[in-house]
Amino acid sequence: MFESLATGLALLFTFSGVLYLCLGVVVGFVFGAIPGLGGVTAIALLMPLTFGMEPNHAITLIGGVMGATSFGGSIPAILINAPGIALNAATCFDGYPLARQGKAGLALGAAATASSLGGLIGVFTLLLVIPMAKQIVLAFGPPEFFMLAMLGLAAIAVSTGGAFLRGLISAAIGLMLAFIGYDSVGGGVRFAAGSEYLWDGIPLVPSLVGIFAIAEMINLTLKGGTVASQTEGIEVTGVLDGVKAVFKNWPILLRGSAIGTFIGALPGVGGTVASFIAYSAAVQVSKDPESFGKGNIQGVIAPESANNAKDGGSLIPTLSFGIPGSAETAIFLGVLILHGIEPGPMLLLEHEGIIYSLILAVTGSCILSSLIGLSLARHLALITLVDVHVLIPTVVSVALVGVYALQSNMSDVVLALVFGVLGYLMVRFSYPRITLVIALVLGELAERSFHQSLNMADGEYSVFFTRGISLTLFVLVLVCIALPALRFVLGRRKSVGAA
Amino acid sequence: MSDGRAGDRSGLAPALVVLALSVGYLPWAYSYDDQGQLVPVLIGWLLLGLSVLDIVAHTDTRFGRTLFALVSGRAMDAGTEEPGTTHGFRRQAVAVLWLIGFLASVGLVGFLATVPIYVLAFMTIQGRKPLKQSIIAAVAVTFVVWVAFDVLLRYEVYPGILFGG
Repeated sequence: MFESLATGLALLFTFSGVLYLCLGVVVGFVFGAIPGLGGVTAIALLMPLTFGMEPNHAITLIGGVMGATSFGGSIPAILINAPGIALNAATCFDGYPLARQGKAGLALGAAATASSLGGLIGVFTLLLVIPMAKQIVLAFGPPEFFMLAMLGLAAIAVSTGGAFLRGLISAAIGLMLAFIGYDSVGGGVRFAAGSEYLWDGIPLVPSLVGIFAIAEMINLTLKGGTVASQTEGIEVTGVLDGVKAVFKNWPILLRGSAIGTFIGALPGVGGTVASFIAYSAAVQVSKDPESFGKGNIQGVIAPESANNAKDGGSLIPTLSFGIPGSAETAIFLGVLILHGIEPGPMLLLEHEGIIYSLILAVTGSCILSSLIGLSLARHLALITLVDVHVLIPTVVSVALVGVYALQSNMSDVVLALVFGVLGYLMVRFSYPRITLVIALVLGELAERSFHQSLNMADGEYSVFFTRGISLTLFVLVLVCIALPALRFVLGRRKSVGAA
Repeated sequence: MSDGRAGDRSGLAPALVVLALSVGYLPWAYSYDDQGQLVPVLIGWLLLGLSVLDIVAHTDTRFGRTLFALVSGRAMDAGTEEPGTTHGFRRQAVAVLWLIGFLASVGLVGFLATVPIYVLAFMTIQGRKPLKQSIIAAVAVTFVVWVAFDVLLRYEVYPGILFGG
C-alpha cells in the first residue's frame, strides 16, 4: 500500500498534476455553488474535455471536482437558503438562520472545516479498506460478480425514495440499453437497428452528458428565474470561530463522518440521505434539540461532515468492484473507460498507482476547496444571482461542443439530446435516472459474468446458489427487493399499535 | 406533479409506454441465437412484469393502492432526485424545440456560428433579456468555446454542411 501511495503522490505532485487539481477544485466549487448544476453536471461536462489528457491528469481533475462540489453547495445554502446541490439541503436548516443572525462567517467556517475533515475521514477509511478489498476481489468469481451487479441495481432501486418499482424499471431499461451493440459473449451485433454508429453500443459520455446536464437545462428552462433575489444584509465574519466550533464539537464531526462514509459505500444511496441522517442523529443526541433549525452550529457540522465523507465511502465499491457508489462515481467510471482503463474488480490490481492518485486528489481537493471557499465566500454568493437564461445556453453550448469533440461525430450530439429528453421525462414521471445509468454501466459486466458462470457450471443455474459469497449476495438482493414491503408492513403495525 | 402515486393517471401513460416497449422488445430479443438472446429475453420478461405491476399500481382500486404501498414505501428522504414539477405541454415542447433548433443550426452552419445565434436568441426570446446584455453574453460564450476547444485543446469543431462539414 505504501508503495502505491508513493506512486500516487509522484503522479499527483507534478506541476501539471497540481494545476489540474486546482482547476478541478475551482470547477467543482463553482458548479457546486450554482444551484441546478452540481458535481454530476461538472464531471459530465468535463468528461469529453479530458479526452486528450493523460489518464492520471484526467483522474486528478475529476478527483478535484468530486472533493469540492459538496462544500461549494454549502455556500448558497448558508448565505441565501438555496442549497447548491441536494445534499446541502440539510445545511440550510441551521446555516441560513446563522447567516441571518449575522453569523454567516461562523457557519461558513464550520462548514469548511467540517467538510474538509469529513472528507479526510472518508478517504482515510477508504485507504484502510482498499488493501482488504483486494483480498475480497480475488475471492470473487463470475457468479459473485453477477450477484454483486444485481445487488448494486437492487440497492439503488430501493434507495430511490418511494420510486422502488420505477427504479427497477429504470434499471431494466438501462440493461436493455447496455445490450445494444457488439455482443462480447456471442460475437454478433444486437439491437443496433442497422445503425453502424450503435455497433459499439451506446457511448457512455454523450449519454451521461445528455441524461444529466442537458436534462437539467430543460428543467431550468421551464423553471426560469434566478435562484435568489438579494444578497444585501449578509455579513461574512467570525470564520475562525466556526473552525474552532468544529473541534469543540468533535463527536458530532466523527459521527457525521462515519454516517457519511458508511452510507456513501452503499450504491445509489448518496450524500443526500447521508446528510439528513447525520443531521437527524445530531438532533436526537443533542441536549438542546429545540435549538436546531434556529441557528445551532451542530446543525451545520453534522451534514457537512457527512456529505464530504460520502466521497470516500462511494469510492469503496467503485474502485473495489467497479460498482458505482453514486451518480458522480458512475460518471467517473465513464472517464476511466474513456482513457482505456476498464473499471471492474481488476482495476485495483492493474492500476493501483492511478487509483491512489485519485484518492490523494480527493484528499487535496477537500482541503483546497475549504481554503478557497473561505476566502471567496462573499463573492461566490453573487453567482447564484446569475439568471438561468444566461446559464442555460452557456452550458448547452459547452456541453454539446464537448460531446462532439470526442469522436468528431454529430451522432454523439444527437444521442446526447435524445438522452437529455429521456432524462427530463424520467424526472418528470419519477423514473430514477441513477438506476438507468448504473445499469448501463453494469450491464456488460452482468451479462458476461452470467454467461461465464453458466459455462463454469456446464449450464447449471445452481452455481449462483452453491457458492457461499454468491448465495449471501443473492439473499441480500432478496432483502433489498423485499424492503419496501417490509417497511409497509412495519409501518402499518406501528400505526395500529399507536391507535 | 407526477409522483407515481396510485390513482395518479398522469403516471399511467409512461407505464403504458414502458409496457409497449417491453412488448416490442421481446420478439426482437428472441430473434438472436440462443446465447445472444438469453439475458435480453430474461430482462424483457422482467420489464414486462414490472410494467404490468406499475400499471396496476396506478389504478384507483383497492388492490392498486395496496400494491403501490407495498412496492414503493418511502426512504428516509426524497432520494437523490426531485420529481419534476408539472409544466404545460406547450412549455415543455418549447424547451425541447430550443435544443432541436440548436442541433439543426449546428448541422447547417456549425458550432461556432450557432453558439452566438443560440445564446442571443435564447436570452432575448426565451429570457426576454436586453439586447445589449444578450450580445455581450453571446460574444463571451462564443469566445470561450473557440478558445477552449479550437485554440487550447485543438479539437475540430464541426463547421456545418454549408461550410464543408
